[in-house]
Amino acid sequence: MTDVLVTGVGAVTCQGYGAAALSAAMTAAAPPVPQRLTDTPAVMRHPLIHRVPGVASGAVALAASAVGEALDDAGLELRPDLRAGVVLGSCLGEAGPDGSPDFQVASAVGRLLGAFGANISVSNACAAGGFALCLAADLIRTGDADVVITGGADAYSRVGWASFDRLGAVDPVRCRPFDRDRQGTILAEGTGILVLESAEHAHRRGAEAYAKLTGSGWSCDAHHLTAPEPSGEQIIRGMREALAGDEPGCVIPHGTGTVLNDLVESQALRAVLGTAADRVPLYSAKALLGHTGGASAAIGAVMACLILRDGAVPANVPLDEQDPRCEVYLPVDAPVPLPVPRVLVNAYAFGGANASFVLEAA
Amino acid sequence: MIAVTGAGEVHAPSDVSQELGRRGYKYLLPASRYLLAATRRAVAGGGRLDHAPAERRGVAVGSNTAVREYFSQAMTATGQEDLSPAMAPYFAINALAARVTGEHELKAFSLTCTSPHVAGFEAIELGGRALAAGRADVMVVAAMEGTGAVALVVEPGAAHLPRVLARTAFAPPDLVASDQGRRRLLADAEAVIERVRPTRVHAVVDGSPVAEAVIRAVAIAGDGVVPLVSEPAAGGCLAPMTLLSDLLRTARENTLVITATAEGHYAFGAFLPGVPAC
Repeated sequence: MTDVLVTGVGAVTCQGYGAAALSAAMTAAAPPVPQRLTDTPAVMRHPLIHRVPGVASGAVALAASAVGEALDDAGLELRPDLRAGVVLGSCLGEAGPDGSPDFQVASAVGRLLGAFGANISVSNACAAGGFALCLAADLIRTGDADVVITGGADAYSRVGWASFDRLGAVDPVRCRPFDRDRQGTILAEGTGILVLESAEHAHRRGAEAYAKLTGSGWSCDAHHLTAPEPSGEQIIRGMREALAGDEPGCVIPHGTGTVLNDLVESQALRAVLGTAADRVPLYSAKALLGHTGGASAAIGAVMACLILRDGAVPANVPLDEQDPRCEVYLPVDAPVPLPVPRVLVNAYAFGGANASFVLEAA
Repeated sequence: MIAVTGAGEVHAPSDVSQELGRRGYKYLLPASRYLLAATRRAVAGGGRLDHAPAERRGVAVGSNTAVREYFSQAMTATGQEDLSPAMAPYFAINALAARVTGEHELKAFSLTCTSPHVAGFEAIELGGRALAAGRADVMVVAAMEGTGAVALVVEPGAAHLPRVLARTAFAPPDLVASDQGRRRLLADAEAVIERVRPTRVHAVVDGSPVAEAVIRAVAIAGDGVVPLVSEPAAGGCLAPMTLLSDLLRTARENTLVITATAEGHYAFGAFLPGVPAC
């Protein structure tokens, strides 16, 4: 079975346009300041957002920007004879005239690229980008495509933000996963795009790779509409399937900042890693970017590629005080060397839909 | 190719409240209720879920418009109290599948796909690929909208059972009539015709240039098989899945269903009858 390589990445987040801006923000480790929403018809207790800088634009525009960057980064031009596909995740899609999502981010990217072939829209809420990445890899492994543009994108939606606020899931201060005083998350705009390529195709054209996707594990809690299953049984299974017995050098957790999610994920990580949980560093992406919904796992994958490239895990955004019940290792003082070139990324969603995947140095 | 052990469908304005039970369903969106009822009917009709442990049972659901009703209401909300916390999770379309995963303990995975009009066939395709990849042993593949739901219980394909196949793809609308577009569509049509060898072809399409191009390609590849064309009865991805479900009940011969839409998505769904063991 062919290896699946990541040969290009692109990103747009509240920290700016481009993977370089993301990388610089990871180095700086400064928490972003949430903006107050100015969408007056929306009545919210905590109308907070991490917006992408510049003029407001939708998920399609964000994705299109990152797709262009990722293809440039990969040195790849989509020729008509290329067996390519597009697999993108989005929770909220692009809002239609009535505010409802039209789920056409992947369609729009396909039109933009003039890309024939597989074109799949995944809408597994906050895990959509993770599922998309795994499905994209499956397309390459089954021989249905040589190259797949994958990732996720989400942007402001009045209903999305108001609904999350109504659920009492917004932290009025900032997104602070694993902090003792965390009260929820802060939703954010963003996109992460990766060019996945079969090893044969990448080698034929002499492309360099950030990483290879070596494992994935899916599961479903089958428990509750929004809350994680307290024992973490299914997310443990997903992580174990993704790791296949190997120890990761870093974990990018789902880590949203909601009280129960972070607690259950911490306990699950200890169950999977055992005593290694004391020394395997976590990189808490949402403390730096907020919660980018269907893009979050894809941005996590981009971050994993940058960590593998640099051979170091950046210092996390500092916590006021780590929750003692969340027994995970979050280095905050300085970057730490990546002990093993293998990063586990977790993605969890409403409905108990879970995806974990592993990226390793190519 | 995956085998179907049970199929169920529900369409508006059916009242499924008696079927589901009196309590516990008030705060579900209609699509979620229809999905629950359709899945129950699929299981009651022979769908074999129980022979696999919960962690080997999955679900893939396709939908386009299932949350539209919630968004329409929420867009005009002017105060916190206008949004029900019980309904608020439905800004995420995959949340509509949560109840069915709990009711049937579908713990292998829950996947929601949403490509315009082809999402039901997309669920079959992704479900089949997940079964082949070993992510589950048995699963529900379904389409749900505010107008109804179709659910199939499937497993890796034993030839003595009725089987379905789905392939989805995309053609950029402004390139569909180009030489390149015609070649790609014809190659896709030839591949599916070769695999399915249909004696009948149905097309549930929207009259767009993409749809016309796909029908033309199938007519050429099918060497004279003329697609029977109909327009989808309602928006979303339900119509082609409903036709496939009908074929599972009534057809005796290999049948192909085409769907295609102006946005550029097109899909082939196929029904193949079971072959009695010698």
